[in-house]
Amino acid sequence: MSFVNYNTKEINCKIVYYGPGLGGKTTNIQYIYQKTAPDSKGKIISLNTENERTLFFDFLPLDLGEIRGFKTRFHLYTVPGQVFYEASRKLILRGVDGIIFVADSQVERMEANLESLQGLERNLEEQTYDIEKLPLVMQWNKRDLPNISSTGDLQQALNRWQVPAFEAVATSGQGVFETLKMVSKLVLLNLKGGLQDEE
Amino acid sequence: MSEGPNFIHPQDLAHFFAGHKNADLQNLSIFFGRADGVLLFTQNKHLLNEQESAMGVLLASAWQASAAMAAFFPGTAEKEFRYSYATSNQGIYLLPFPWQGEAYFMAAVYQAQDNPGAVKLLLRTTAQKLREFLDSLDMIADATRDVKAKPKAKAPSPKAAARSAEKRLFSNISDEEINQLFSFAENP
Repeated sequence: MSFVNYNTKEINCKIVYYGPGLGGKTTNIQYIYQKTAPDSKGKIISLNTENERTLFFDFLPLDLGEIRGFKTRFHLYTVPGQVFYEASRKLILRGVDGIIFVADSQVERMEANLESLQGLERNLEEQTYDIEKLPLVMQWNKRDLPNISSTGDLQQALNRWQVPAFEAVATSGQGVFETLKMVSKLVLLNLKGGLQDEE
Repeated sequence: MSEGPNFIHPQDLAHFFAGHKNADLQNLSIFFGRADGVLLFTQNKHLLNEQESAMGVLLASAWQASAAMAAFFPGTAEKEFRYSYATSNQGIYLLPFPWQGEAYFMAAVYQAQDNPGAVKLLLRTTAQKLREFLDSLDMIADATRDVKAKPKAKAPSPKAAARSAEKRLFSNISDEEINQLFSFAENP
């Protein structure tokens, strides 16, 4: 749930990277962390299992700078992708302002993508979110690997809402910032509260 | 959620804690935040500034995860659980702080305390005083609104109310503005 402080002119928003296990969610925010100037980022938090899989979430606070006089801070989260962490995913979706669905482009991962997307829809519905009204961006990750689905197939299978979609190779950074910029724009455009209400 | 009359304002928290000169309280790190981990007030004695956001998120997450675990057991739904993570003389103590239908928390981090029970009691007492303080602000705001209210002011029509609720903070944002926002990135 975004937070707009009119007195200090600050905006806080929550963006969640969602998707199947080993799809590259954590790699996305690690790349963002690496490429962000030290004074624009806080401490990255990763609650992992012993074998470096996400147990609860990864968290990265980003101070983006100002837009029209408002200092903008985004909190980036990833959910754990493994199937049995559904309860954690529900918790992390609470108060979400925007979602990046990181799909694994490999043909053999299509079913995992579909299962994860269905879980996302179900979890949002439980929390009374309308997925059609929530800023959502698709990322087709791992485009550098062999045996990948075409973007047309991914689009048809996973993007029936026709939301913006980006090809990505998160390990090299390709598409990472493009995806984040797009969801950030959608989130900011979705913020409620007319400036004329300002006191 | 935009800030509004029904939400706790960071400046009111700062005002309250600035007026509380209790030495024991001032020795603690205190974090007051929303259920989603956004901090509205910090009195930080232990952490680096860049660690504060992470602290808020971890506190809220630990609290919510504990609440989710407790919910597996019958009869816990309506209760407010305090959260404690402690050794015999140091720890973290979190109190839920529901206010006007919104969920907040107030947490203290303490170290080298001979009597952690006293710290917890102090935090609970402070929470009660804060509640009274916020209630008093609310009453003043209500009274001010009553005085300022125009006689025979018409209530907004349902359509106007709906339009107002749907009003957007930014009507349009250009790609250039977004690129400018992300100028912190080094050769993305």
